Amino acid sequence: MISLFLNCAKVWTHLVKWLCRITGRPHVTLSREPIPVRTSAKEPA
Amino acid sequence: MTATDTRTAEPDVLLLPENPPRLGPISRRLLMRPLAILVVMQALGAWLVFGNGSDTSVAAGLSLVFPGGGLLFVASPVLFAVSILLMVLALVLWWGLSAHAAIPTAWLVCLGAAVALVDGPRVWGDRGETWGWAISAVYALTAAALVGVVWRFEKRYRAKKRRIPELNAYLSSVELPHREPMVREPDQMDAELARWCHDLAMQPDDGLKGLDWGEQFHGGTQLRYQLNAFCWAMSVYAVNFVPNAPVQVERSLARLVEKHTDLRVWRYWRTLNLLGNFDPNPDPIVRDNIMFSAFFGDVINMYEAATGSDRFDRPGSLTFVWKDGRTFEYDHHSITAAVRKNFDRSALGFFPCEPGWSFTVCNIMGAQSLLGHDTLHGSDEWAQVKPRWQRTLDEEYLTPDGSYAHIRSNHLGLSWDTGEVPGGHYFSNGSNRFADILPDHARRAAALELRGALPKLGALAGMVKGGRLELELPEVPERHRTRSSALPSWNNVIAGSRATGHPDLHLAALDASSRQCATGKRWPERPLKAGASALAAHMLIRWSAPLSTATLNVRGYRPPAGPVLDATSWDDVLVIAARSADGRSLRMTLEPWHAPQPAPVSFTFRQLEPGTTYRCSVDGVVVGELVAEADGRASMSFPVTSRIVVEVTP
Repeated sequence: MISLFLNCAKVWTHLVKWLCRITGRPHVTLSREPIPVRTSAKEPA
Repeated sequence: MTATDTRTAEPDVLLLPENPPRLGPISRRLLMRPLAILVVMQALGAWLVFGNGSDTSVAAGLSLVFPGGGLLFVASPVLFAVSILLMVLALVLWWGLSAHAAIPTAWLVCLGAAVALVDGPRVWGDRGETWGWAISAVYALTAAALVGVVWRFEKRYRAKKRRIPELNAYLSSVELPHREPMVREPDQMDAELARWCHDLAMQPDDGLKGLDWGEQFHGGTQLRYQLNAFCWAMSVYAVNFVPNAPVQVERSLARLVEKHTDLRVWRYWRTLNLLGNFDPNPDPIVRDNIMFSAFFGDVINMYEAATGSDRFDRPGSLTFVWKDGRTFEYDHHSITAAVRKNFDRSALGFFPCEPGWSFTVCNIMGAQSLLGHDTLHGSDEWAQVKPRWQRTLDEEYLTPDGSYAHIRSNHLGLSWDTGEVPGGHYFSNGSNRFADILPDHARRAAALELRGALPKLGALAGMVKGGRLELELPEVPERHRTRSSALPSWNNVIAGSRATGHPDLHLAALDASSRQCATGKRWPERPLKAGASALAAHMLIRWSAPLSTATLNVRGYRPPAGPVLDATSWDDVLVIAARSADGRSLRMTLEPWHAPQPAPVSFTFRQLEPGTTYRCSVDGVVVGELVAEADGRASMSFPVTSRIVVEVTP
């Protein structure tokens, strides 16, 4: 085992917060819109 | 009482190996790969630096020896610093998104930049200037980095190894606290939390309102874990609080299980599969992704063990539909089979969450998912996997002090403290903490975990006066760091008091946590001030007595004894509790769900003794009698305008 220390989890969280800030997306919300999907290929159109 | 007694005899606690190796055989073999790559790069770098002599060759060689080393040689210290940051970013992306190409790519970009700048302009100095001292500096940095890594690893290994005699002496003599099975009457917070879960479940099919929505990879906002935890919590609620009225909770649980197939929950996998496996298949079950497949398998185990329903055993009952209409049809059996297949094909013995990264916690969930399926369906998946699985746990992941490494690379055998869990190690993890899959390991882990906690919880127990704990705990940031709450700290106290056999502290902490964290709000807002993960963990801890998820995974489904509430206006009345203490009578706590029900609501019971007359009382006042038909059924009507306690006794 190589024991380095880099708090990846913390860097990741800050990275995500930063990306959310520059893209104008909320970091955490209570809901988001469903993703539209095409009708299942196994179901009749 | 319908729930079973969970007391068992306590055998001796497993001791730690006295002379553990630094690495297990598979990890050692895997580690040869990065070491070989490192040796080749150093040899090639040395040849370029010392064998040719041109500036371009030296810049390229130093860039191989140390990432960005050539940039220091071409007198670009700022770019050298940038290259270090780039490598840090690449490392984080390697871990976070399984971007296995990130580090080699960043390394090569830095090399390319150094070579391109050999004859280029300089910020400080003349065009084409080189710093000869950079050769020594780069080699010194490389040596320092390598020595630092080895020294740090060795220091930690030796420190842990030195503790083995002391820990084994402790484990030889420790007596684990005895936990009496606790049956608790639901309080108002239980009712509010149960209401919240039902509201979460009963929103429209494509509704997932009420969870913490954010990125789906690592940030503590993954919908899958939130849904898992609410399902576990509702499963123990079903079996501990409403075993004699399963219809309503089964309906809600089934809807929560089905919400796992919402594309927003599992869409992340295609990105990871593409980046980490170079595989564009979005199917979230078939390959790796144990953090979804195994957790989901375990959720279905709990659902079936709590309700007895075979709804998700039917082929295609859990169908995942991708954006383009492709469908991936699964059920309880095929999900279990996929988990088993992934275990079988993993050289390490544990299989990955994110491609290339095998986490201990997720593989514990994988083991649980196999065991639960065996319990419910008589298969022997866990028995088949167990010897190899345990060898991987004990030989590859165990560290000298009894803790397990959180993460390991399946490709390179590397582990490090990623910051996800304190120190990068834990004694146990997963929803059942080894209690079902490896009971001996569970006892050792519990003993090691409780070592420091016993005196602290004993002191807290001394603060309970008249059943009340006058204490407020500090708010701490939750995993996604956008909210702070005291609930995670309370969760530790509530779970710890239960584990250490302090029932008075347990009850007082439940009460104190409600007093400090209650919001008075209802879904989609939360009745307790906390993120969704902490809220779900709270419910799971709160409702895990007398039966825990571990007990349930070993026990499987048991039909309720005594009268069962079979039909009522399920959309109007919430069943907060329905239990039979003696197998003949029924005691229920009911509340109106959305609005008071002043008109009489019909309640139909089954499993009554045919021909027997039952007295029905509401809040202690007899409201009528019912006589069981030949099929053991009978009905009674009464209004439900507020919280009431109903008793049906022969």
